[in-house]
Amino acid sequence: MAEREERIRYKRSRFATRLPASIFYTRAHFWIREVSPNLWRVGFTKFATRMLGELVEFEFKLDDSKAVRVGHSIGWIEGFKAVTDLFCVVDGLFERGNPALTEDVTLLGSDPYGAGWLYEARGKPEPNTVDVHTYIGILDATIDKMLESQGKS
Amino acid sequence: MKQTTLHNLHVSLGATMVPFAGYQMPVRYGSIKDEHHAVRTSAGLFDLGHMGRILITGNDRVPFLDKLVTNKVEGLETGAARYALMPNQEGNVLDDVIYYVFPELLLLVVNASNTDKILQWLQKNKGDLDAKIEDVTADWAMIALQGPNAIKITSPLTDLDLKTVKGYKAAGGTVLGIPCLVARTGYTGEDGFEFYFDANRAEFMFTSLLKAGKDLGLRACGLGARDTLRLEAGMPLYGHELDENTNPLEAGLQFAVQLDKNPFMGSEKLLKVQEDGPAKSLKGFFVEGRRIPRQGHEIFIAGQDTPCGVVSSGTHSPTLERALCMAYINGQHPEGTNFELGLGKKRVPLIPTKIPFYKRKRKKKKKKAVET
Repeated sequence: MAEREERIRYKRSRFATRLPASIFYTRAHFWIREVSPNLWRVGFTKFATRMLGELVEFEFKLDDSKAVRVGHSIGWIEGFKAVTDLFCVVDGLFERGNPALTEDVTLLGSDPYGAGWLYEARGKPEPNTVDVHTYIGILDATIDKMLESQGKS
Repeated sequence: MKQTTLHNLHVSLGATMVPFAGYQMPVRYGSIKDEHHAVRTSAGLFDLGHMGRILITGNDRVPFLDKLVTNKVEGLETGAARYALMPNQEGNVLDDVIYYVFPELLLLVVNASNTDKILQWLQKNKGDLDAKIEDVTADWAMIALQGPNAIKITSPLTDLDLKTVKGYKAAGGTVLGIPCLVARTGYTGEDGFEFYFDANRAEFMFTSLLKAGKDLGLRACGLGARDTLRLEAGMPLYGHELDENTNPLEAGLQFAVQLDKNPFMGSEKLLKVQEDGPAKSLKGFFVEGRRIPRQGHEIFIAGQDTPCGVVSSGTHSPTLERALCMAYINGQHPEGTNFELGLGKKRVPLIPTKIPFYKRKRKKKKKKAVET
């Protein structure tokens, strides 16, 4: 994935990111990219890593079959303040976790759309994935809601 | 949900706000680690507007407070500050507090989560004594400037000679022209100050201090860094190391318990604990691997199925770059006992270590001239 792909600048309040234009997103702030036919690479969006804060450790927990289903927990990720479940966004078979994360878990935050991907799975991605433009709408609504709950518009 | 007077400023600085003890507080502005390192290497600025601040006045204020805390109040000079526990009749901890002695008044600083409880406790135990209790939490701002550069940042802004305000001392003066109680106290294990002043000036003070210290590396810090800093420094947090089922001797806070002063609330029980030995004791551990031990995780002796203790606080230490925790261990165990942390079905080896995990390097005191 050396070629430069189109990115869309996004900024709202104090959050800014450059969203790859050609990949899919989920409402739970994962991105999904088809790396070869039916093989999907999954990662956190920049917004997700911002919300999670610093990450220190993670583990994939799968049974021997490596079968995975959308919405099922496939492991956990540990931040400074809490442990969060990792929910799968692909129906099919778990292929592998990102080996680079074992060395350096901070890649998740420093290069979320590139070297900091989470895992790859074969099969079908969740049906409710959206394109970058719809995801931008989701980000707007999410950030506005957060600002509102903080009592500042 | 309450807000401190600095709420809008925190939001505009991009803070992640979380509920804490009934307040919306900044947990971090950016990265907790960066904020943590700023305090260890330069300086950090904290809004502590949630902490309870109580004024005690009246002619009997000193014997009144002396009766209710484990440390001495009688005989302290003006400007003295002390850390103490406020025990119940059982000798267990209602709160841990800091008090400052000023002419005509005592300033008592309590935990946000315990402010109402302590106000009621003070009223209940006042009896006929001439003591007036006033909650000034909302009227006074409290911010902390912590770190090795705190003195360099504050000195040009104050009329006080800060070299004379030594550790655990406080003085009245002005900072940025604002009348202020300046205390050399904190909760980070670093040198630094806590400022008490008119809440209406809080935003001006906070932004001006940030600006004044910017070139020296000062940054705004949230409760996330405050927690990792205090934990490295081995300082207890109410609700974690301290609660109403724990006495100060179990928590290893002997330094703040003066059993030889006049009898105080719970002192008989504490004398008995001292005689018999505590039922549990607070211990420090490093943890192998990157997993973070959390409050409530159980601790086992290797090869045993029944837990012998429980984690009270844990974190990944940004300074030491490893996971560590404080934990209560029941009973006594010989040196060399192999302790393990239970993480679900897994057991992770623990390495016993002394509390505090981190101690700042202090400048060596100048040697006294050799007598001839």
